[in-house]
Amino acid sequence: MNDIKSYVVQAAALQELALDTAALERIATVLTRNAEMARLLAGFEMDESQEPAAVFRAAV
Amino acid sequence: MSFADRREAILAGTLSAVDIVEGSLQGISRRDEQYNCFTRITATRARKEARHLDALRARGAPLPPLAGATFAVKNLFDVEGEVTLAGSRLNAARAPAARDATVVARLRDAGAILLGAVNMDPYAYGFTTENTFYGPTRNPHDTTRTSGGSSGGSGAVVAAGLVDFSLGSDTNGSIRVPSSFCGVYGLKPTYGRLPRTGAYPFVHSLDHVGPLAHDACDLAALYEIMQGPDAGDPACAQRAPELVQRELVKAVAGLRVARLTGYFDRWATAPAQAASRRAASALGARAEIELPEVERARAAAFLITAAEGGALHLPTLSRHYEEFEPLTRDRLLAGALQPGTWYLQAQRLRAWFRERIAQVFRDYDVLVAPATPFPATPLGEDWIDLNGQRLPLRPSVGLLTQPLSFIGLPVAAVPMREDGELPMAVQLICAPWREDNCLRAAAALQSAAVARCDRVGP
Repeated sequence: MNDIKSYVVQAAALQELALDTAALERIATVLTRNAEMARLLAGFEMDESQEPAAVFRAAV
Repeated sequence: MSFADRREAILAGTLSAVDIVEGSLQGISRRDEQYNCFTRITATRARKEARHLDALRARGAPLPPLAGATFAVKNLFDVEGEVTLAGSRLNAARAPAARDATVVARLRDAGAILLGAVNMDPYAYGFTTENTFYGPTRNPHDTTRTSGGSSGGSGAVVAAGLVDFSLGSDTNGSIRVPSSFCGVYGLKPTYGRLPRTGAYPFVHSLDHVGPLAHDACDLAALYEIMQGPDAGDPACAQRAPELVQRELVKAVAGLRVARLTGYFDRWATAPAQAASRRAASALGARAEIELPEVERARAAAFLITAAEGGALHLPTLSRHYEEFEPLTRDRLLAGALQPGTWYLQAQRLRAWFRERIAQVFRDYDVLVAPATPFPATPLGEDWIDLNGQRLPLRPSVGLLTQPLSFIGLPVAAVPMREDGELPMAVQLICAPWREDNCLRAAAALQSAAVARCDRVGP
């Protein structure tokens, strides 16, 4: 959680968000839950050819 | 009264559109205070549209198919001359919409009369319609409980019988959850089927729009009318409208039905599981099956929602954090700050999951699952105990809907209710572009009186 708090403080600064400590802590709490979701996906192996999104087309 | 019956009554002169509108406006004025559905009533527009229909009848011109049917829209749909709130106080300062959203315009042209815009979770990020600025929308079946969300106003306004139907949007379950909590029918079509032009976005790659109504036949009629390509929505399919009303008489003949177990039982209370068993049995289900990696699919939907929703609102949040809905702003900011790799891995899983589920539809046409883990919860509740686990309530409401909209499958939400119990819906899930099968199965449950949509009377 401390790592995530530090991450939120740095990432918020990078996005030029002026937030007080209480807001940063609340966001860190939410991001901790999101991180649990991300962990579920990180360990899941998929073929390298699995495209991340629809193939880009230069014209439609 | 069906849409066709109402049209016939106007044609025969036993009903006038003006009388319908005046009666409806009186009902809203008398009863909506207890539910808080409407954020805007479009009385002037409704009266004008009603006079136009009565004038058509007076001069012997043909009446459009939805003549005299009344409706309301989630307040994220553009309505000409009205401000599109999208559930937000900040949006109240925006200019009024120049024109109707595409689906609103198609319904208007079909003779439906718009009575107003209804409440929702701010920017559609929520499942309970507990809106800090516009108040909660209360469930007509028990006003101490939520109406679900984020299209809670759209569910409640139909359940209360204040309109004939409504429009909602569904990113992770926002049509199906209010359908379940309020006990009404809902249709979340295939991703890209109905145009979203003029609907305030939340998550571009997951947003759908669709109808909520009192029965499956109404859903089919509305779905037919709202279809068709639209250049304003890049995701909208270039497909001609597919007619489904004539298919409903086939019921489930020839359809291969299975009930979903595993994840969909694990995250459902006993009454929700029982509802899905009743529906599956009535539809002649031949199997109980598990889908692969549903937990991960839900996690991926969760992360994509947070990232895209957060990115959309980041500029406004950076300037107006204090004015943003308190229940939403920290979740959006957390999403905006997520590492990019999380988002990309979630998108990769989305493609993987779509391929696996496509294989399931080689063997089955309709999959049955509960729409919500539990019935409507009390207003103000933050936590829920679900099968022995204590979970944050608001995100958990969408546990059973999120993995399905994640890959854009069409789903009909069909209300089930036992005597003395709160309503709960089941999901009838079909392969992409097979809304006809969703609606056939929904109509079959309705005909068999297994489904039950109780309108709360005055």
